Amino acid sequence: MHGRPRVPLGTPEDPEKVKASKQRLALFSRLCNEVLARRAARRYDPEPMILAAKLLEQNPEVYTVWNYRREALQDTLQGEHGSDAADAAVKTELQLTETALQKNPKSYATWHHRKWLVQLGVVSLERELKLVTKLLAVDSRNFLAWAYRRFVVERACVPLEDEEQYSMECINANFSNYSAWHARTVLLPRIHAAQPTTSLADLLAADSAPNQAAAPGLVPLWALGQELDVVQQATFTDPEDQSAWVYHRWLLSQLMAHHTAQSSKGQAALKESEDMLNQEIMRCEALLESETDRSKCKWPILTLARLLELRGSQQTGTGVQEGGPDQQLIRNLYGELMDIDPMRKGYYADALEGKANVVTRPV
Amino acid sequence: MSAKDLNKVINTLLRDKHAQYIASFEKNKESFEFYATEHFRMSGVYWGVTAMQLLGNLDLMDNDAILAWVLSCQREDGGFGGSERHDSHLLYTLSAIQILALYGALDRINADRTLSYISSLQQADGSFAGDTWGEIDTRFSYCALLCCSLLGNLHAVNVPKAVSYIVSCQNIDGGFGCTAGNESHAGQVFCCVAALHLAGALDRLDRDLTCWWLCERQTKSGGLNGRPEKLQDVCYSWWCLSALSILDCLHWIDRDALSSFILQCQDEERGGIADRPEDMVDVFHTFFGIAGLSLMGLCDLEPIDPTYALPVSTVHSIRGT
Repeated sequence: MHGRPRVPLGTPEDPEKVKASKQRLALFSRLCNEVLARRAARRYDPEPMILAAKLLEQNPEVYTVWNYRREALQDTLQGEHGSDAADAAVKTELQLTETALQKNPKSYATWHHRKWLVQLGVVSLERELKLVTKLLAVDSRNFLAWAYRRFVVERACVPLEDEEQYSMECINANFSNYSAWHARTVLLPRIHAAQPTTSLADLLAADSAPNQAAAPGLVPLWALGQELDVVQQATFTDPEDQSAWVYHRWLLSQLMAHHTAQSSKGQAALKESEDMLNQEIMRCEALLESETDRSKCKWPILTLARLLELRGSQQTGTGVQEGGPDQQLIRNLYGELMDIDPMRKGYYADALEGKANVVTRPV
Repeated sequence: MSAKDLNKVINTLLRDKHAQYIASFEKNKESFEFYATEHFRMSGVYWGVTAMQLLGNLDLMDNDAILAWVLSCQREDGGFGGSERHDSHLLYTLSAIQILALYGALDRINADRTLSYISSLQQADGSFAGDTWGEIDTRFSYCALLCCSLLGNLHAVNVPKAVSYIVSCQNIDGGFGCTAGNESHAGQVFCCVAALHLAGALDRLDRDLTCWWLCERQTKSGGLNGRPEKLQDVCYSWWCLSALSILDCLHWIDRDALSSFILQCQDEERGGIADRPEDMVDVFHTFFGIAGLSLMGLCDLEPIDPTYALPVSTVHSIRGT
């Protein structure tokens, strides 16, 4: 039971509520008995179907009853499309799953039933995309809704660029939408693997930096630059929200992978990614200067420490220079993290000793 | 608890209260919850008896009746339903096998039938469907591998393929999603890490990154959440902690703060543990709270194994160690 407030023992019961709850129990237990008995007898006539729908409206997670509905419907739905019976059945199932999702938007069993309908090819994918967009507008972090969205997008062959734009809209509406940041980590490598880019902005950006042919699986540097700008907006708005920072860590590992991939091509090829790394160091420093309360600066401090580690390993190829100025700075930053974020002291201690490699490994 | 007591600190585990709460739970057959939870009662019973074993109070349960009931839930296909009237599903097949393991009664079923049910659910890409209706989820990969392991035949399924599917679900934050491309969730991370452990494939994940994401689940309250910027909840004491334990990184979180949070979620009057302080208790959170404390070696509980989610003594007796 999640988020239901506890009632102290001895609290006088509201007789109206007791009555309502008894009625609810009586109805639900009768529905269970009737429906499961007919299921056991393999009866698939309309009456138990109506009762089954009623039961699922009250408790959408009773998976056996969804199984029962599918058994009852599969012949009709897998048969000739467009028959009146099939159309009516699809309409009923769509309505029922929508009602069930309103009751419990995280009902695995209900989402699966909906997927089953889609897989039969009897549902308009356009309508499904609209529905899931509506649900995500209500709860933008519902991971089952996001999973369903990916499923529909794949089947409907929605261009990846459209989904990329959708995730950006979600982020612009709320920088704290980790689900939308996550979506970008999946979309961007796929979009750039499927070069050439199609949007004018991307073509112009690619044209201005023609030497940055992307290594496979990597987001090109010009696109990483754009992402780093978006992260900067988010982290300057709320430096304590971890969503954009976790995304930033991924961008850094991409940057690192570019550097490794280009290391054989000489100094000039490396300059671009090194400049971007230095820009990120300056951004963290600027953020830290603008915030007077260091106790709120865990994320820029951690990111700065990691950036300095990265710069060290780029410069020497092995790691931060022993006894150099950055080494002391990094030590101080981790020391400060142990003070302001003591819960994760164990991690910071391991990171300081080089026993926790969270960024410096290329993706 | 009255309003003035809201900030009161509970600093001990109310063992007897919890044992009473769990023992009485199955007896209240007139509640809405009893009917509403019927379809997953097998898991409810697993949470209850395992918590009782960790508390050292399994003798308070009607163990013969429970065992007979579990056996009565096995279906023709070899799988187990969530209760007598429900269909086979991997989730409840695992709970049933775990209960039988706890009772040392795995010889009461025909293991080959159950193993063939499980292997029939593996897909060409190595993933597992929860049942014949084809829902795919990395939770089911864990269910399948753990069942096979408990039944003494891990290779009843294609382990390398199962591993490669799980690995395909790892995200750039180090966590895992329900299928490839989906957002990381601590419950899923537990399933995937434990499954990779069973398969001897922990080298296939990025340990440091996974553990860093997991330790970032601890919030100011001391409790753990399941995803970034979400509320803490006692059940993640288990999902995050077990994965951190398997990967040898328990020291990356503040265990004192976590144990205080769990203890704070106890209902002093009725017994049981809730998702958060002042919420209604249930058997699910009671088990995960106790299991979390056990994993941290606290409150004089019997130790639990993070991969098998069973008492260490049970795992030893199954492996003959």
